Amino acid sequence: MTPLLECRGISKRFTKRLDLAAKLARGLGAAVAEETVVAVDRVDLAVHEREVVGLVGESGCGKSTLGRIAVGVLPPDQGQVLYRGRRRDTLKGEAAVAAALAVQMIFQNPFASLNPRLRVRDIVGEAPVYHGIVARRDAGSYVAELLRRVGLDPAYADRYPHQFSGGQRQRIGIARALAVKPELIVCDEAVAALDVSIQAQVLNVFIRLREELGLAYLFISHDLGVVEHISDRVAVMYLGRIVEMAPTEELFAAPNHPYTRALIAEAPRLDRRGQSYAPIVGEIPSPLDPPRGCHFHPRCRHAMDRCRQEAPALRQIARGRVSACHLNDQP
Amino acid sequence: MSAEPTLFVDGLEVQFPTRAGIVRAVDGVSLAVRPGEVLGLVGESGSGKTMIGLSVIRLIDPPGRIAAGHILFRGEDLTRLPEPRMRALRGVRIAMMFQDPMMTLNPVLRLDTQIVEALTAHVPRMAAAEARRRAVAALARVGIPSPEERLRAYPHQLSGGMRQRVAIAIALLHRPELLIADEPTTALDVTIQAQILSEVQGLCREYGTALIWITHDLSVVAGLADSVVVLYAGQVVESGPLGDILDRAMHPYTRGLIDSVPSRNRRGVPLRQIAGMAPSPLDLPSGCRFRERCGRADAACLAMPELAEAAPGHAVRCFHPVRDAAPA
Amino acid sequence: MSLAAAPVDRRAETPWRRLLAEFAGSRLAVLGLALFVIILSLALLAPLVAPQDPYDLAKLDLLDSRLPPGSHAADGMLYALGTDDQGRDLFSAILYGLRTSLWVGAGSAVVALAIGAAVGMVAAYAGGRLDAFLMRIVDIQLSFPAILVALILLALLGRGVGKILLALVTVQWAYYARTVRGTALVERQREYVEAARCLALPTHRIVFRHLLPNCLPPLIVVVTVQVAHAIALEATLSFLGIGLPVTQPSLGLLVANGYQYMLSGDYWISFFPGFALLLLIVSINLAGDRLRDVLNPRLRR
Repeated sequence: MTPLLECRGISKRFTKRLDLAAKLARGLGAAVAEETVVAVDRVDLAVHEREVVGLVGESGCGKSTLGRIAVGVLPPDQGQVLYRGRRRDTLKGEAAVAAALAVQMIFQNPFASLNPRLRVRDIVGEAPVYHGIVARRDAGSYVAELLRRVGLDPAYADRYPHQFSGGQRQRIGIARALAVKPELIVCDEAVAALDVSIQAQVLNVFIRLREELGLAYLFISHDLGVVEHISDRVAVMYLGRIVEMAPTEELFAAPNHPYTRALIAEAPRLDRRGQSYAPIVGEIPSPLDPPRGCHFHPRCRHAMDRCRQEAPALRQIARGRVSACHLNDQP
Repeated sequence: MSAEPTLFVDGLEVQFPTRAGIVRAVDGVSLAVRPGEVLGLVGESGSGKTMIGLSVIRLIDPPGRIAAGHILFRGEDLTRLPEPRMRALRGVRIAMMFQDPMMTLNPVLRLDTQIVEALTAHVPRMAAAEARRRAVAALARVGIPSPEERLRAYPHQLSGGMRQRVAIAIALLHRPELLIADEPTTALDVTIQAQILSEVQGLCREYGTALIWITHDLSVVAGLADSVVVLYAGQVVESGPLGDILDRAMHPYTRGLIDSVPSRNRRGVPLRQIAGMAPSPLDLPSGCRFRERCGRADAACLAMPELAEAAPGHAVRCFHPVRDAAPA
Repeated sequence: MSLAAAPVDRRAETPWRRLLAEFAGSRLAVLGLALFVIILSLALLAPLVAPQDPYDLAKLDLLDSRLPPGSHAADGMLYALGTDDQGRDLFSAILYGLRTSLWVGAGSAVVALAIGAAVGMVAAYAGGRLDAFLMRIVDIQLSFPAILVALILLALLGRGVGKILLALVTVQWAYYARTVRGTALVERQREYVEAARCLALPTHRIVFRHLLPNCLPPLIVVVTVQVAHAIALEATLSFLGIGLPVTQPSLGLLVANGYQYMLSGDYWISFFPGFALLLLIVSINLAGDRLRDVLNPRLRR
């Protein structure tokens, strides 16, 4: 079955170019070099219709960058993004717009993701009117319907973002995304900035919308509990690479990759009392200078020589499960 | 555990005059922490939890003020202390850690300057070499690699997790008797959080530091705390030992919080949630402040319930506490 | 400290209304604003309020020159603030002078704002070499003292209102460009701009509908300061004799004219126009200072 959205071989690099002063300094012998961060390194990821794929990892692992490439606001350096099997960068005209609108994003920061100078009805209503999804005269009732769908009183349409709480602003952001009738929503740490009880409310909005509208999600988060609850499949990222991917229950019941194991072991859980924290020894390496071979080897208890030389490839270890670890090659 | 609490807060009230009226951010809160004990102070935005921490260390900016109550630190009332004496306590015997490490770190000074300054401010006769040695030791203690080199860095050259660790190192420099941690790991990754939690746990065990961990995340409290105080709209709604609160919570709000944690719910199904939002501090309902969101509220709840002990050591502020055991 | 659970207001509170409410928190600022409004009204209504039209040469009587405040004309008109060396009623002259000063100051500020904002937004959104090129021009412009640039320009162009405006615009636009660019660079990274791009809105719409309105607050502060600065600059140029022509006196020119009589005791010819200028600039600065405090994002929340 053709996935709704597929990322094939995506790589993205950020280079801090040297300006004139730095070039001069280098010419004079100073140890100045161009700094390159490989944010995303040859990633393959697919999301099918009505599927929720969770993407977990820590800061600097590249999950936000991957999310933005999936939505289309950031172009990849290598690889392609395919929408319903067709390369998105080769689409033109109406097809290109349709592909762009089909994938929307909800952002982490509820305070910066809404234009403070626009009223809610303009924030939500601008895009559908511009793209002709709804006629201008019907925009009012269209926006009201959307607000109701996300659990907000339609009377709020006249107000400005600063008059709302964080949770309410996230709902407005969801309404804005829904207004263009998307098929896939990328949630970039969408509930991370919210209090626990508000988090539950907003997650429930996501779950309900999925049932009502048949949406698919790419749910990016560093919170394992949330990801476990909402996802069908989970991908784990570390320093730009996907190290493991599996259906949710299997991943959490029997994690394969040492990094996944450590993450799950260290996440605080409500039923773990008097936990004696024994953290992963060693630093998270800087993305500017990732370790050779397997990125995780400096912190891995089971690291072998091979791990220092050769980056492990994602190999299938069971039906629907892949993992990138040399340990899996051993009989 | 030794009898006398390190900190005893009694009937604390903190108020802010605003354009729209007086906000009672903290409205009659009492709590106590003993040496070596960890108290989890749980509450969401607007519950007043941060204000309590700031009151203890007396960093509330005007026009906010402590309107009533006592804060007894080893028997001494901090609300009555003149500022010079408070300054002598701050950073030495009472320390605070914030969610944003840049509230501790000065962005324009190198780390060694800042740490040495924190040392010599309270021990003026310390020699430069000794101060430096202790700074290196402090960084090493929080697990920062190559501390001698790192000392020469500026805060912006470190990652978020490292900065928070430096902030902790500074908080721990003088081995404080009381440490107040205000959501220091909320913005951090799981692995960094684990490192910081292990540091702080070690400290409590080794030096008998009393720790107040302020958070809205019950899961962190579960692993760390000995006792829990739950705040809602400026009041304590429940308090007691950790096991009692997590397994036998009686206040509907606490139950709601625990039930809404994803791991307590069946996968894929909507989470159990608390309806509505916390009331605005300017528009508090009469009587029980939770009644508009509570499924058990009735006419009795129009009066303000008192905080009363419902089981040994376990107090709750509710007319209709939940008595059945929480589902696993 | 911030109060996290912000109340949801009963009705829509526009960002401007909120701004006004916070602005009104300082009595001094409100006083400044009130003073400015009074001065502005007097200037706008000058033809109605002034007892005499100081540009009408037929009405002037040289015999009435340099009369002290409180004297009367032959036909009984009161010279409230005295007369100048040409027999002009000083009060009327000040009112008309205010008009000129305000019109030149505000006019040049608005034009400079338009040019500077355009340059700044283009630089911020385009980035790269264009940004660097434009900002180097701005830097060069800003490294010259304003008065020097104005002097040179006017020496080359001659006198006249249009030329003064040109000189003032040339001197001011760079501040706006730099301010707008700084703000636009920050706002461009914000999530709401990303959201607009996700929604496949065209670039021009994003720049004008989303980016520009959010770059305005710091500009407002710069405008208030710059208007005062422009007025003072024009007064200086007129005082030095290269500003506006004698037939359209501004406050600066009035001060200049009366300067020679200061020592002989006819202080009012310079003093009152100077005082009026002072009141105008102080009122703008008081209001502008408060605006800057209110709009400073770090002091809020």
